[in-house]
Amino acid sequence: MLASVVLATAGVVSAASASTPKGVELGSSDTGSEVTAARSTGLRGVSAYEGTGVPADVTAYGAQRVPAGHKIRGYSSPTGDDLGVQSIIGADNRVRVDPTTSFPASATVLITRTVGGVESLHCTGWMFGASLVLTAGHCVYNQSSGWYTGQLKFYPGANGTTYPYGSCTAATLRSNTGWTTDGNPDADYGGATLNCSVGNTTGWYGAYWTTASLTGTSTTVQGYPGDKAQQQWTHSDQVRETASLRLYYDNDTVGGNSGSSVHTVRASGSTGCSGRCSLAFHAYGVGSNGHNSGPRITESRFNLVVGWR
Amino acid sequence: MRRAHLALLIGVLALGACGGEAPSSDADAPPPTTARATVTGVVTDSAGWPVDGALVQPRSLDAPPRPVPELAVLSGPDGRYEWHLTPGRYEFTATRDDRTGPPAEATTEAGRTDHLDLRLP
Repeated sequence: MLASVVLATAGVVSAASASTPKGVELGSSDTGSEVTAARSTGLRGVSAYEGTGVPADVTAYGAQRVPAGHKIRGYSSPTGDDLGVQSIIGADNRVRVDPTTSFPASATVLITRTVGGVESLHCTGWMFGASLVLTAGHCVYNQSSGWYTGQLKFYPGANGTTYPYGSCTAATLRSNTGWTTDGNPDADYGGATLNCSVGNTTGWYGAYWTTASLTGTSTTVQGYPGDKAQQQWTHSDQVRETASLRLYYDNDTVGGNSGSSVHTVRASGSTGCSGRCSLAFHAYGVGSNGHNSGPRITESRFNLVVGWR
Repeated sequence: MRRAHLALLIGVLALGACGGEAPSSDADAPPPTTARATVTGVVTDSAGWPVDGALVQPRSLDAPPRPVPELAVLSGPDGRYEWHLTPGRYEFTATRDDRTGPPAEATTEAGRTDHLDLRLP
């Protein structure tokens, strides 16, 4: 609590974290976001920003142009049949998002990994600032092989074989010791500071933490499932169980959805966060309680990722 | 004043960075471990040729099941795939062009690499 109070009063919520290689920087450049406090209810957040739309030239934001048809290796079901995986809970109720040039599709990021010169679908991320993508910890760090440094590319709003916002690479990969040291699934979240500021045009998700139970809160998981060939798909459900560090929900997902924002839609003027507001980082398929799940955004996690901006 | 502000910022960021990662509170979740098991193998078709771009997915066979990371893991041009997982019993399947091969099972251990080849019909 102390951290959030001082952060708010000091007005430095957009400063880089102490782990940034270039050191600590003061100042705020995220003019499209607003941090509000409502400590009496144990809820605090930052609102979504819907961006300026598809730019005439993505290189103006430091992104690379990607020609239509650029080859990323992925799987596509010819008939659209689902895979019968556990994390499709009941019927497959996913819906394709097309086009992807309006928010929040524009701020939903396809993450690829290149190994041996072959670029493949890897994960999903979500913009959380002009240059910050958040995702699952296992999308940036593997306990067996370490950081995926130099292997990841980020394509906001990718749509099959078109890439309206181009691509960016990571300047810094980020996670937390709960994941990198302890390997705790409850702490399986991370991010990447990009070498571009494409978030100004794609917009970014909001996020908030609350001490209250979130059970019954609507949830949307929107991302790049591994059976849909770099297409963006979405499905809505609700929080089924609330744990202190994890949320459980029945949104239909497939491998590749890891790192998607688990978000809810809050009305304009809502306390803490309005618009598309992230509650958790999607990370795992069905576990012991029969639900899909992801690490919950808590107060300390919120402070940490805001510090990454 | 500026130095005091910087010191305050560093302290605040340190608090924010180390304040929240307590051990899991989920009573039924497996204990966290950094030691991962590796499962690797080659996906082949009915003629024995390696299959490029097959989606390889594990399913936990433990009770209670271990949640599986929702990564997209695809076989490479040589048919090879690799998964890193929490140790346990898993069933793996490969899918390509709406063809899903028979599941193959592996009981994995931390720090060990198990070889598990997968077939497509």
